[in-house]
Amino acid sequence: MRILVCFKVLPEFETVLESDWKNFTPQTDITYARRALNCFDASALEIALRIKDTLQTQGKEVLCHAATLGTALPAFVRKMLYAVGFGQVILLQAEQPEFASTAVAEQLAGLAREGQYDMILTGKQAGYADTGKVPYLLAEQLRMPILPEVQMVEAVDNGMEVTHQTDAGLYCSTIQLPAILSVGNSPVNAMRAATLLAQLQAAKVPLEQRQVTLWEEEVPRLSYVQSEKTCTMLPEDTVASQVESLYELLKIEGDAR
Amino acid sequence: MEKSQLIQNLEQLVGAAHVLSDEETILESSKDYIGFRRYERDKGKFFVNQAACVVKPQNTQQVSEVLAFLNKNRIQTTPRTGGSSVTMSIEPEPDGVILDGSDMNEVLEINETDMMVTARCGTPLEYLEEYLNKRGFTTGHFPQSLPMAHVGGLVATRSIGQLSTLYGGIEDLLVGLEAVLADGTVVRIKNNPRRSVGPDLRHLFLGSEGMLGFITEVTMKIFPYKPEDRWMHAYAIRGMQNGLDLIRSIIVQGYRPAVVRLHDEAEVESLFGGAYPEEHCLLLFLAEGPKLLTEATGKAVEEIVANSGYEIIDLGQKPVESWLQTRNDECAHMDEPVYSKYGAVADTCEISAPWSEIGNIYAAVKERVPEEVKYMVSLGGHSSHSYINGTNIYFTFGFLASMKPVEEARPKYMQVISIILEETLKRGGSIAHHHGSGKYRTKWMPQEHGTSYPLLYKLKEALDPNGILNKGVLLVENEE
Amino acid sequence: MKWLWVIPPQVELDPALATLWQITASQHQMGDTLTLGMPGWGKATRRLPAAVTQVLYTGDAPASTDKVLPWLRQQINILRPDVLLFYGSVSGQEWAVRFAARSRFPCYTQVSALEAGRAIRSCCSSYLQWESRLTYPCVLSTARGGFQLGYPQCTDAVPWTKVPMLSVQSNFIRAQTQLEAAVKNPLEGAKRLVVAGRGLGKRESCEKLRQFAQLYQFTVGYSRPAATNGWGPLESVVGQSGTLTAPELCITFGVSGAAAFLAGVKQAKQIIVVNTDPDAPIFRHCDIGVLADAEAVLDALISKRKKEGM
Repeated sequence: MRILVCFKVLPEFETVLESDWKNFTPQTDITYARRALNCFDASALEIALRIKDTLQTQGKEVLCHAATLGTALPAFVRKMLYAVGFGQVILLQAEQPEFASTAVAEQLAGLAREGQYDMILTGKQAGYADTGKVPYLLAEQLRMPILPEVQMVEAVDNGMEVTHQTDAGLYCSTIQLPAILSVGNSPVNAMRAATLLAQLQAAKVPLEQRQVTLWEEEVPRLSYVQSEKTCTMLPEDTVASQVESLYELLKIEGDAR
Repeated sequence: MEKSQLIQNLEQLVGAAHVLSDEETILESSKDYIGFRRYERDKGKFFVNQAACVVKPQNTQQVSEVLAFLNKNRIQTTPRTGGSSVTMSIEPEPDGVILDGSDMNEVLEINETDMMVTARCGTPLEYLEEYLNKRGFTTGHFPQSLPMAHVGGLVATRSIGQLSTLYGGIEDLLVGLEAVLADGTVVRIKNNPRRSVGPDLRHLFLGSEGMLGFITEVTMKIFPYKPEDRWMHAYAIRGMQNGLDLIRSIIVQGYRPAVVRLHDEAEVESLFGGAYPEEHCLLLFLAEGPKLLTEATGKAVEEIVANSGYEIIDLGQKPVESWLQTRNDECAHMDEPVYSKYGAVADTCEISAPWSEIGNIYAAVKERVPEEVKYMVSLGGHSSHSYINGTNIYFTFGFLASMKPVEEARPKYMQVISIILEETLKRGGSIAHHHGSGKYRTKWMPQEHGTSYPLLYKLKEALDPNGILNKGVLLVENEE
Repeated sequence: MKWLWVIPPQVELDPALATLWQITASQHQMGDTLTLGMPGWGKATRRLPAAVTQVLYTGDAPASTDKVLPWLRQQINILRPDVLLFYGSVSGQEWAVRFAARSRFPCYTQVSALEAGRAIRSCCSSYLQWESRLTYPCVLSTARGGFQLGYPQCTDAVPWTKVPMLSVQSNFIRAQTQLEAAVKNPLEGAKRLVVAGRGLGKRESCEKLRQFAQLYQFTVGYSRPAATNGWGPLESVVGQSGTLTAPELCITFGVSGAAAFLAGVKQAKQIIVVNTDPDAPIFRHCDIGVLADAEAVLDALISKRKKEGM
C-alpha cells in the first residue's frame, strides 16, 4: 500500500509583530516568526504512521511519503519525518503558493499520479490564506473520492474504516481505495517524536526536491482587522467590588430580584 | 500531634478561614512544575506527599506565632508563595504544614527619592511591575515565572530575570528584608545602599529556599522605566563556542545589553521552529536604560559583531521583538499536556561556569546525553545570563516516556540531570544557576560546595535547630 | 442579478437561511431573482426569506456529491445565475469548491460578507481581512456562524418545483454506520455565551465555569487551546477554526484573545473580559474589562447568585 500525506510548515501567527500585521502585504517579511507543522497536517501524518504500524504487524508492506509545497522546508522537519518512518519527503519548491490553490492542487495531483498512491491524506487548512480548497481541488484533479473532516482512519480487512464528521453527524464508513481523506478535528492531535539517534541517522537522507511554477489566481487586498470596541476597565479595588458590578451586567432579563 | 488538633491550634492563630485542609487545596499547593511531575499529572498521577493542611497567615505577627507553634511541636513546614517551583522545592513532608504567604500581598511603600519599593512576600511580581510601570519605574526583574512568582519566593530562590545582564539577579536588586526564624523570632535587615558591618546577613535568606527562615517582606531597587528607548538586534552565528566567545568579548569590553541570549542550533529548531538560518546559533540582544547609553551599547555591539571575524548573518530587530512578545507564554501553559501529547517529558536544567569551561561543559553534555539516554528526542541549550567571569547554559531537553509506566519518567529524568550536573561539576561549574537546589539537586550539593558545605549545616543548626523548615532542600539528610 | 442559494440536506434550515440572507442582503436589489436549491430535501413547510423567488428540491434522497454536482450543472444551465452561494456546512464547502472547479468559475470560500461587489473573508487566523473583487458568474460558500438568527419572511407562497436527481453509481463507500447524530450546535444562536480559555489554568476551574453558566443561563464555549487540553468538547470551540458566534452578551474567562478566537466573537453585541494579564490582546476587543483572577471571580459570582438570585 502506498500513502501520500500532504503537509505544511506554517508561521505561528501569534509570534508575528503587530506592526507587521498593520501594513501587511504578501511581501511582508515574517520569516522571523516561529514555525510549526500545521495541526491538522500533524494529525494526518500521525494517522498515516499508525496505519503503517498496523499493516506492518500483519506482514503487509506500506510506504508512507510526505509532500509539501512551498519556498523551503526546514531541515529538521525533513529529518524528523524520515526519522519517524516516512520513506520519502518531497518538497515541490515554488514561490508564493498562498494565492494559487488550483495550481497547488495541480502540482500535488501530478505527484500523486506519478506515485500511484492508494490513499492521500491531507489536513484541512491551507496556508495563511486558509481557503481550505486544495483537498477538494485535488479530488477533482485526480477524479478520486474524498471524505472531509476525517477524525480517524484504521486499516480493516476489506479496506479502510474512516471516522468522519458530516452534516448529519459522526459516521464510520468503510471505504474502498483509492481515496483522499482530509483530516479535521482529530483525537490524534500530534505527530510522534523521534529519538535523537533516529534523527541523527535520518539527517543524511536527502530531500526529494523539485522546482515547480505556479500561476496566481488573484492577489486579494489584505487588511488588518481593527477593533471597533473600546474597553472600559472595572476599577481594580477588590474582587468583591468587581463582582458587584459584574453581577449587575450579567443579570438575567426578567429576573426577579 | 493529631491532625485535627493541629488544625484546631492553627485555626486559633490565624482564623479558621485561613487554614485549609481540603484535598484540592492541599494538592494544588503541593504542585511543582518539574518535567516529570507535569508528565505524571497529565497521566492522572499525583505522587507527592500529602500535607495535613495549608496555613495562610495574614501578617508577620501571625507568621511568627504559627512558626513558634510548629517549632515547639516539631512539625515539618514547607514555606511557599507564588508556587512556580520547578525543583520540587515546595513539595511538602507527609502530614506536614504548608506555610503559604500568598495572602500577604501588598505594596507597602514606594520611595522615589531612594529608588526602592517595599512589598509583602505574597505580592505577585507581575502586579508589582505593573504598579511600578504606571509610575514610571521598573523592577528590572523578569524571570520567565513572572506571571506566577511572588516577591518572597524570588528572594528565597535567588531568582534571576531575562534582563539580568543589565540589572543583575535578585541578589543585586534586594535592598533589605524582614524574615521570621523557625522559632518565631522576627528579624529585619535595614535598607541601605551598602554597608560595611560584617557579613551581609541578607545572604542568609537569599537562596535559602525557606530552610533558614520565612521571608515576610522585601525591599527592592527600582529603575526608571523607558521601554521606548530600547535597541534590539539579532544575528545568526555558526557554532556555540563562537557564539560564547562573541558574548564574552562584548561583556569583557564592558558593555551591558540587558538581554544577551545565544540559542544553539537545536533550540533554533525546537523553540523557533527553524525560522532562522539552518546550522546556525541565534544571538538576541536588547539594550535599554538611559537613551545615550543604550545607543552607545547598541553601536558597540554592532561593531564588535562586525569586527569579530566570524561569518555572521544579520537578522535585524524583528526576532528580538517577536521573542519579547511571547517569551513568558510558557508560564500560562505550565500544566498543559503540551509535551505529553507527544509522549514526551520535557524540561530545562540550568548551570553556570567560567568562560574557560562553559563551552566544554556544553559540548560534553551534548555528546554524552544522546549516547547514554536511549529515548532522548531533543537536547538543546542557550546562554541567557552573562557576567564578566562567565555565563550560564540553560539546557532544554525532552525524552520519550510513553512506552514505560508513568513512574519511570522520574528515574529517566534524573539520568539526564545526572549527566548535566556531573559534567558541570567535573569542570568546576555550578550545578544551579537560578532555579535553586530544590529537593532534586540536593545530593550533588556536597560536591557543589566542597569544603564550605559544613557551613550550611552550622547555619541550619543556628537558625532552625529543630529542623522544621523545608526539609530536603540544599542539605543532604544525615550528613553529619 | 440572478442568485442561486444551495443548502445541503441535513443541516438546520433556520440558521442556514439566516446566514445566506445576511450575506446576500447588502447586494440584493429589487427585481433580482433568487432560486433556492435544496438537493436532498423534501418539501419543507417553512416561511422563506422574502427575496426567494422559487425553490428547486429533489425530494428526500441521499445527496452524495456524485449526484448533486450533475444536478446542479443541470439547473445552472437553465437558470444562468450570477452568484452561486453555498451554505458553508461540510458538504456545502465541498460542493462549492468542486462545482466551481468543474465549471471553471472563480470560487471564494468561507465568505462572511459581500460589500460593493467584493467578497470579504478572514485569513491568517483572522489577523487579516481578505477582500476579492467579484467577477460573475462566481461560486461562494459562507462562513459558518457569526450571523444573527432570523430574516424578513415572505408573505406569498413561493413555487416549489421538484427536480429529481439522476441516479449515479458510486461504490466508494461500502458500509456506513452513524456513530453520533448531528446535534444542534448550541453555540449557534446562543444569546448569552461564556467562554473558557486556557488562562483558567486547570480542568477544575472549567467545572466552576460550567456551574456559573448554569446559574446565569449562559451557553458554554471554549477557546481552541482550552478544548485541546481536554477541558471541553472540540465541537464547542469558539473561533475561526470552530464556531463563529453572534450573542447579545459574551463573557470570557482566561481567554487571551488570539485573532483566531476573536473572529469567533466579533459579532457579539457586548463583550466582557475577565483576565489577569493586562496586556492580553482581548482587552482591546471588548466593552468591559475586569483585571482579576478568573477563578476568584467565578467563585464570587456563583456564591452571590446562590445567595441572592435564586
